[in-house]
Amino acid sequence: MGEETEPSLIYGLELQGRSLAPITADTENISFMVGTQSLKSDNFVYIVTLDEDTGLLHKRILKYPAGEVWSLNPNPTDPNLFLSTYGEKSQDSWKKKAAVFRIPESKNNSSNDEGNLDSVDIEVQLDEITGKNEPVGAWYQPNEASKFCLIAGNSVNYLQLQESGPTKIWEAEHSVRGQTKIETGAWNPHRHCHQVSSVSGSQVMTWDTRTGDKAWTLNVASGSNIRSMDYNPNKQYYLATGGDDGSLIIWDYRAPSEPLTTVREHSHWLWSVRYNSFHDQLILSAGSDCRVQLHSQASLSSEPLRQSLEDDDVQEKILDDGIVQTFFDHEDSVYTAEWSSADPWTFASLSYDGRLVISHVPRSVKYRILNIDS
Amino acid sequence: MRVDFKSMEEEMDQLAESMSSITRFSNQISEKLRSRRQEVASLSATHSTLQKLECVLELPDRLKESVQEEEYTKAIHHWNKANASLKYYRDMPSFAGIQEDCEEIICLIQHKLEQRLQDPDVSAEQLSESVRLLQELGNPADNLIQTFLAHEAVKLDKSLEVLRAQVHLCQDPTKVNADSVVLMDSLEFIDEACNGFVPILADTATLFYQLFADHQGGEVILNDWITEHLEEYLNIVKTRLSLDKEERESVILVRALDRFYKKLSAATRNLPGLDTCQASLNVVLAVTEACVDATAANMEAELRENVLAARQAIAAPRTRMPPPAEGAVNSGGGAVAPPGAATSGINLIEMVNSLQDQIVDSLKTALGRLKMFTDPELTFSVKSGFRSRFSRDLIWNSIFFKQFWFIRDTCHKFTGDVTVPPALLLLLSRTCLDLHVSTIPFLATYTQDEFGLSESPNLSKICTSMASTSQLLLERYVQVESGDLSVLLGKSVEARDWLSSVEPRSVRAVMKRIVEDVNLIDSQVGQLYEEGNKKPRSGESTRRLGGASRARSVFSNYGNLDSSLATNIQKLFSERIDFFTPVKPTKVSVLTLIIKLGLKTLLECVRLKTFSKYGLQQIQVDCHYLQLHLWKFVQDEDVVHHLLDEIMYSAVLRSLHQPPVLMEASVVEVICDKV
Repeated sequence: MGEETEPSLIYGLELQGRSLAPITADTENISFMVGTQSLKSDNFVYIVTLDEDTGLLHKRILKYPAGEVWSLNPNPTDPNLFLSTYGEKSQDSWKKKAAVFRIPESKNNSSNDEGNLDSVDIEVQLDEITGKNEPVGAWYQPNEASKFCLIAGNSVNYLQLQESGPTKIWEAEHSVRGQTKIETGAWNPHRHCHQVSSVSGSQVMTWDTRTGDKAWTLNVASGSNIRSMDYNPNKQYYLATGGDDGSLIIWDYRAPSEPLTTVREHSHWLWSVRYNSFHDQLILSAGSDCRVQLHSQASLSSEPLRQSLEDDDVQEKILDDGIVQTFFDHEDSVYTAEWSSADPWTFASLSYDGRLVISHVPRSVKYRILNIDS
Repeated sequence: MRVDFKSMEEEMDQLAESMSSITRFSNQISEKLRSRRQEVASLSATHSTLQKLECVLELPDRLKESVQEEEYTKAIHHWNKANASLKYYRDMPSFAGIQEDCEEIICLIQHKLEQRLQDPDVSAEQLSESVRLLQELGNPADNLIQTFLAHEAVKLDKSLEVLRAQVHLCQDPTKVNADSVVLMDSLEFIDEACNGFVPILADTATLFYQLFADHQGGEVILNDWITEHLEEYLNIVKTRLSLDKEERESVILVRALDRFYKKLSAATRNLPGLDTCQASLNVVLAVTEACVDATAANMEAELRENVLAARQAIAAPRTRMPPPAEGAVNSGGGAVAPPGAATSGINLIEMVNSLQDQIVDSLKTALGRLKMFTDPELTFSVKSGFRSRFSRDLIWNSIFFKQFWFIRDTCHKFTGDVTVPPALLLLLSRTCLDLHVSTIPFLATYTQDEFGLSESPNLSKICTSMASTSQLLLERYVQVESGDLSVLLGKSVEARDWLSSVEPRSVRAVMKRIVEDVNLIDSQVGQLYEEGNKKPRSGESTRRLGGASRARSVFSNYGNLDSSLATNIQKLFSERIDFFTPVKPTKVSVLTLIIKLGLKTLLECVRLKTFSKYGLQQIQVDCHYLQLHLWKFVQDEDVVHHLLDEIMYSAVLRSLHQPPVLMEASVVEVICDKV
């Protein structure tokens, strides 16, 4: 399948990094936000934009004086705001915190000189909310930019940002035996986003945002930890998880006892799993085996079959299930891989050594999905 | 002379005259007698008519008499004689009366005869007499055939009923006391069947041909009838004999089958237009098949038991606790033996061998049992229809291949089982490998020799499948063992507050546990798989020291080098570690993969933490300890060094104090040597 692949674009950050996110508010450009993670040097946030015409990467480098970046979550409507968790370091202590940051308007377009860099500033500090708990991550509610979910330690917080500051709508606790903290979280994009999930150990627990009550839970039978999860954006009830046994698992949460399918293609932890938000048969996974993999799970997607062009009575498969392509561009663990929010055929991945790779879905697959003769 | 002639003439005339008077007198007499003669003739005619009349008049009485004496043959004989004249004189009222009387009696006779036909206890002679007489009485043959066969059917059904009762009894032996029927074994059963049903069938056929020899289409009717009952009979025999599943019964079963086959073919050999050979051979085959299936099921049950026994043996002495958090490793109390000691007691190779032996024995026993079916003494065994099906379908497909596919499926199931003890995976992996390499081909040859089969089976499919199952099991073993190590390592890093560590004085207990576990894995795998190739070492004698000094040099440099430069330089000099290398069936390959995956987990966990000065030094001590103990297990020790370097490097990156302060290498060595 990988015959006429467009070459990946590789960009090296100067420091280690594990946070990468598409700038969802910017629907015009293929743009991502990347953060560095260093205890030794000053940290930066890169806004990387791919110029589709020239194939060149435009970078805007911003200082991130708060500390080392652990996670990034851009605001769904305002491209200049983002949620982030970070490690704040002092002489003898280190603390993980969370805040809303603002990106300043660009003064001059071209200058990336170190001395002249803009820096992102904390807009809203979330220390009060997290308290003693170590923040894990914060995610804007996709359909309402003033609300977000903040997970810290074992607690799940549903918050609203107001003029006066962040207000807690509810707080819930998700603790699993043997786990020190929640691993990650995710919004269910269906039904006006009234469900948000938290992952601890091998358990997914989902909360009703209207009440703060538990909605449902799901457990990986093998007990293997889940590192990442994502909801199918086009097909209700379906979600994907990935974890320490390297398996990508697709679930229907109405029948959580048995997974719909398990694909074990990573040889170490699976750190990131993401559905393509336009074509949900495509799933991206990345792991600490340095691989990024593009899967097709067409049979479990919202569009498993389509009308054949030649014959009205025939429904044809769009894609077979399986690995579409494995990308070998990284040499260190890949902690995040994200689809562009502007172009369904482009995605970015970041490995710990600071290598950012922007890759594309193979043309043949793209044409097949679009039903174009290539 | 003249006178003489004259007198002579006169005399002659006189004579003629007297002759004519004689004639005249004679005529007169005859005339007179004629009327008398007529009278006599008419008298004698009258006499005979009277006699006949008497006979006719007496007929009803005679018939009655015969009926009373049950001499129906005589009665019918008389009736047949008189019947014609009675018919002739039917117009005369007196004769008509007689005829009516007689017909009444004949009706009675017919009725009696028919009754006889209904009576199941009637003897064969009576039966044939009845049928013959009824035929004489002008009953249509078709009806008679039906009645006759129906009569015989009752007898057959009776004998079948006895057999059926036996089948029920055999199916549900608890009923023994309810009826006073005793359960027969197969041989007794067949004797009963052969002495009851088969002779009745043969007799019926013989009788039939006597009685209805000249009836058109009688043969077809008979054969249909026989077929119908035979089918029922064969079904019963089949059901009963198929119930014999016990191994010790097979001798009897084979003899019973043989007897059944012989008797039935002998009994029906003389029946034209009927081929019972195929039908009875089918029964023999069906029973054989049931026996083969039962044997196969036995073997499967045996295998399951053996695997379960192996599983229990492995699980029993295993006192491995759920992976404890660091510091809690020994909190289980002194009573719990260290895992190394506890599990090294299992002799895996012995278990593999015994499992193999059990598989071989079980197949050999089964084949031995089935060999009885091919004894040339047996009538059916030499039939080509039996031979070819027996060897091809039953021996190869239902026993040989079925058994190995079952083993393969059983083993394969364990690859998806999360609760299975890893040693069992290893054991089964080795078993599958052995089956693939030697046992299957050996047993195939054995089977061929035992049964004198010329055509050798195609083993490639089962062997390939066995090999891939073996590989899958081994991969699964690696996955489980590395998973266990990973959990242990992961928790040990995750659960600790690395920012407030105290100065390290010893290697963390969890590291010792890791090394113990790896040793255990090594001994487990080492029992079953050969060593495998290691990359030749550089500097043989000074390896240990060399390893340490190399580590020191690398570690001490981290603080000074620009970090990203350090990574890149490091990557230039060390090969990229590929986690995708498929595991090979050697000890070194298995261990390398397990250690690689475990250390990779440690690396990932370290990168999620932030370390104080002492936290970093603890990692330094731990890494050094692992380096001292793990290199010997792997294919290429550089892999271990490289991974530990990366862990150390990542810990340095995550160190709060920049530049990081590492512990003196000599101190690290002293601490590690203390253990």
